[in-house]
Amino acid sequence: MRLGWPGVSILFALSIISLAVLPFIGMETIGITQISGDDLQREIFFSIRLPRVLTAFTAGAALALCGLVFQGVLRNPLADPFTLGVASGASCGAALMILTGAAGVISGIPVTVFGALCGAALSFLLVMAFSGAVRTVSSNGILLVGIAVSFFFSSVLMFSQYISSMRDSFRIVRWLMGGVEVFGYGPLFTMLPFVITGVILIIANIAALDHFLTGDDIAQTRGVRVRFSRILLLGAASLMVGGIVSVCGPIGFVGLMIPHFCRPVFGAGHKILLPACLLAGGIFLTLCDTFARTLIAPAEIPVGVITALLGAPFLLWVLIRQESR
Amino acid sequence: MTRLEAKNISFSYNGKPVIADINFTANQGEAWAIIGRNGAGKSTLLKCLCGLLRCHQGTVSVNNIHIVKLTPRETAVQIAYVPQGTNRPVPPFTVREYVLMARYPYTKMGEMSSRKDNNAVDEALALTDTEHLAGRMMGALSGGEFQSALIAGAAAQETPILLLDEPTAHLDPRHQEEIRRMIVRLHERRGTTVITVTHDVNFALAAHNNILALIGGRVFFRGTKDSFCGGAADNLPKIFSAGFSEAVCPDKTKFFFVTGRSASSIDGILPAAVPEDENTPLKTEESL
Repeated sequence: MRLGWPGVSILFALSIISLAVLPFIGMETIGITQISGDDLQREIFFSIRLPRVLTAFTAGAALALCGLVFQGVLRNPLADPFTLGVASGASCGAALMILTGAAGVISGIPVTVFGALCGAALSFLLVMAFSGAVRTVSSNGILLVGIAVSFFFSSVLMFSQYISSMRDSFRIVRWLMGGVEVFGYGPLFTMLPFVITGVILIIANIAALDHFLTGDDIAQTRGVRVRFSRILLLGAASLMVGGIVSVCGPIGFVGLMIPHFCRPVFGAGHKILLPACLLAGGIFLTLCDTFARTLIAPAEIPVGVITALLGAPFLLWVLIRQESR
Repeated sequence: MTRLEAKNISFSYNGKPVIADINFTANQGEAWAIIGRNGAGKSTLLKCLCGLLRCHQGTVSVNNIHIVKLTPRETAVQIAYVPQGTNRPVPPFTVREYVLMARYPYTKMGEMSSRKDNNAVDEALALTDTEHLAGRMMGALSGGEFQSALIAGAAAQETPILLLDEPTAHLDPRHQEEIRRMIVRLHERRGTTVITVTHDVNFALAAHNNILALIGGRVFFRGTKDSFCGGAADNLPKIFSAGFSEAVCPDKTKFFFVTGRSASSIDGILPAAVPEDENTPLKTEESL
């Protein structure tokens, strides 16, 4: 059974509800009346809770979309920016910026963002170049190349952590756990341009995304510019990952999980699956973040830890289900 | 009138030649079967003809326009391609959705729901006799049904030229016959130019008027079905490296069956001994 557009509407309604309700929930629940009355509560609500929920929603939506694109283009249920090394490239780039103590802005972009984008681009190019060189641009080969690239960047990261000071090292470790604790709207506005550009590029190629599922040969003989679309779609997704990782750190498994949850419900056609994944990813990460900040309040669990706790068993489930088919 | 022409085309994988110096023209409404052994370069030739592979030498042209100058969309309204139905990704769609997607080259921004597109899908399903499959998922189909759905998709593309790669391999006799009828229908009712790769000589003769036989990546025979049948006793052992006997069916058509191995001197890829010229053991006949 497929839910189709009514299902997407339901998700949309749920998104609005979660965006409207979740900022009130936290270490202390804020009442609606307090926003207008209490200055401190208003500050907490508008400068901390609301931007945080919005950031979580945006990041979750974008990560789910990235996962959808990677899985679709590569026709591989295990592909996502993390299994392909793009996220670890971005993390490595951003972390190196933090470690070298580089601060400030390069032509309007904070250096960590700059580092993350460079890292994402570099790892994406590496994966494409090597998978091209070993002539396995489709299917599993590219995943293996991605894993190799991912390990490479992880070890660069580990090495630089090892030689850095205790304090920097801790900051990196915390950052690598992934989180959306932001203050104010700056971080959200930092990643929004990348997310919006990515979403537009992907929507413009949504039909090609469907055709990738039929196989590259059929897609091309039906008029899809396969090579161009593949690079554009994966590049757009990598750009989004760079933007998100620079703000939130690597939050894994959202991109892997959400498309798998949406497909049985919405079918494989991307015209419906894409908005469904965006909304479901947003809701999912917002909920995870609400748990992250309330479960052991006043302390917080990095949201990346929660997504990974859910995601790792989920990965096994995907593998087993695939085997049993 | 659509004309597909290959001039002196060659292709090699990793420096190893697979097809060499192939000349071949398919005019509007002709039905060609490309036959040969496994590894003779049949599928490679087919992929070169639809632009999936870019040949290293020579040119492929559609209506005298070099195929590399056409965009994928422009090629896709001229040539439809049906790949081998085995070992390939299974589209996670229903047959109808899959067939509708074939309308892509005619659409802008991938919007495929116009009445014209839906009519084309209905017509394609009717022509290929696959209406009963329309609501089923591609993944739930049997091998024969899946192959039929692939052909239905190509039919919805409404191209003057249709290329098929081993459409009957791995199929049971009933489905082989269904595929044969499908090809004949597309050919006769629509005037589609059909080019089919197969190693089944009887299927080749049953659904096609012209035969192109490859040995070691070179053209060994090119001509009409009748001239092929005339020399079949000599040709078949050379083409397939197997001994054949022939039988005549009640309707006077010839049927060939394998009767053991033949000691063919031609083995491996691209023997220099089989050039495509006057010295060819068999006279090559230009089609009109």
